[in-house]
Amino acid sequence: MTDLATLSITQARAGLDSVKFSSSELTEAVLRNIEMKDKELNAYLHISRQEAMAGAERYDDNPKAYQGQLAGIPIAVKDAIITKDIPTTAASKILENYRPPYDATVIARLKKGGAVIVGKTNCDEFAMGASGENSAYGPTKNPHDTTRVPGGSSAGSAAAVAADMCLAALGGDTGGSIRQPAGFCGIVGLRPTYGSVSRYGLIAMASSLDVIGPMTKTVKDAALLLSDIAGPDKNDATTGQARIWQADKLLSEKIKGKVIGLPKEYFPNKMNRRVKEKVMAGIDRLKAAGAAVKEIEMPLTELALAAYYVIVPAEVSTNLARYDGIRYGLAEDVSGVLAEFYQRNRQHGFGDETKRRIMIGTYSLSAGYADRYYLQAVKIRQLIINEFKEAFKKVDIIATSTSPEVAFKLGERQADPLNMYLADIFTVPASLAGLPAVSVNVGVVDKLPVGLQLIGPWYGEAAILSLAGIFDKD
Amino acid sequence: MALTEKEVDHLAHLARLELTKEDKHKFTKQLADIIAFVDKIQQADTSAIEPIGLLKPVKKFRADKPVASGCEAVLIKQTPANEGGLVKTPSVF
Repeated sequence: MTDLATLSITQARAGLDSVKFSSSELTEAVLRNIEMKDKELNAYLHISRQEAMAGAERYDDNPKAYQGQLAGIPIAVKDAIITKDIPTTAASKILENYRPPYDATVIARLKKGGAVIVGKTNCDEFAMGASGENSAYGPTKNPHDTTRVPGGSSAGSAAAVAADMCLAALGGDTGGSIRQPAGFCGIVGLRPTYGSVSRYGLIAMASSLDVIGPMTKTVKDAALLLSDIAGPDKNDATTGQARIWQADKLLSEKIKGKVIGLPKEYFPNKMNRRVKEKVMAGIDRLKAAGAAVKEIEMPLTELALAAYYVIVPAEVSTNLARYDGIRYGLAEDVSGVLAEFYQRNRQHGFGDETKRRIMIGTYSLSAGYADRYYLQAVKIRQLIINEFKEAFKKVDIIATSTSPEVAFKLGERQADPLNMYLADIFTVPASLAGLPAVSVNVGVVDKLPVGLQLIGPWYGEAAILSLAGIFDKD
Repeated sequence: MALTEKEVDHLAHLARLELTKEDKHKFTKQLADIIAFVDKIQQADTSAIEPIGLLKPVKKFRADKPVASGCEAVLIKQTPANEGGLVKTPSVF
């Protein structure tokens, strides 16, 4: 019998619906895999065995009571997403021991639909990083090569899916945190259109960019998971225009006649040549399926990363002001005066990258610098949005490599934050414009996975997923 | 633009961070590198551009009225220091 943990959502759905196995058996197989592999990979910060098995049994007792696409399916959740009574830290010391009193909207929806949550996955602290190494609880390793990073910030979610330690996972994407680790770990990662999935209960990093999305073994699975979590939510005002999607409709657009844009700025000479070859071979497969290819120019791409690293730290410095040690987190003594108490808690509770971004944000928002940095960056963001709008008048989809490289070595970029930032160079522009984008595996270079990124216009999920679907193996 | 340790000290204070001597030294160089990198945004002519507000303008805001979360007691119990249903903090001065 196949190891149940290796199944995709689609395969497990068929098995559960035809009663070939139970959710308890499936969940047990996943938990066993976690116990076997996670000491080495460190993908999980918390394993909720008891709650998971109880959830699986509830499903088995009455499968018809649950309508979700993921009913009875064991999934993992990035630790930046709030789960009631299950520890949630966003991989920060400052939230150590925090047990949220409520569920994020996406969690409430998945639970109502019958999904089984097996645990919370490791990530860069407050989702700030591109390697998973900024976690206060140790780095996650890449299952394809444990001397290398899995990418970040949704590091544990990517590694857990790749190593069959869950059937699928939720990640969060601000500048590439779903797509880049999906690329490095050889799985599918979808960043939905900004505002199409509720952020209520997502621990905020940069609110104007943060999105929750699926990380899965197949594109079909990503569509299933997305259809369970997307849609308007009264607790997130930016979801006012969110669509309610049906999985089969997300996968049924015709490929024939679609025009794929290749911006030359995303294929620079300095990128890894063999990565580029794999990406081009993937694009050739889309051509063979009936799509046309057109070269385009997007000259503002070069400024996107710089604008991003002004806007994000500005929002970070504001969003993270709430961590003062009073309402949650570190149990520090209450001696001294208030200002010292804040400083002490924040000094001990935050890691280096978090401190750097808070200080850069403080700098770029301070009197005398706000016009030069923050205001200029948000104007460039508008220009980038305009540039994408122009591009989508000429093409239906934009295709790029997800990253300029394959997964790099652990520790390699830790001392050089700027070099770490460059890992997100191809994923950041779509984030700034709020566009949907998916990363799918298109092969390996020296046994390390290579991701192809497909970017669509706002609410263009069906187009990018339908195209990406040709890379599904089953 | 060169950043001095004194400026980093000031930023840390504004952000309510306390830095060790080693931290200050390390961050001064790293922050200066990052600021030098992001400074390339000055290259773009944005004189005719209105800065973006919300990515998706909200058409209708919900009424601004308080609702009970039902978890007030749990929230207070979650705080690192509390007594008799109240949260303890050091004095302001």
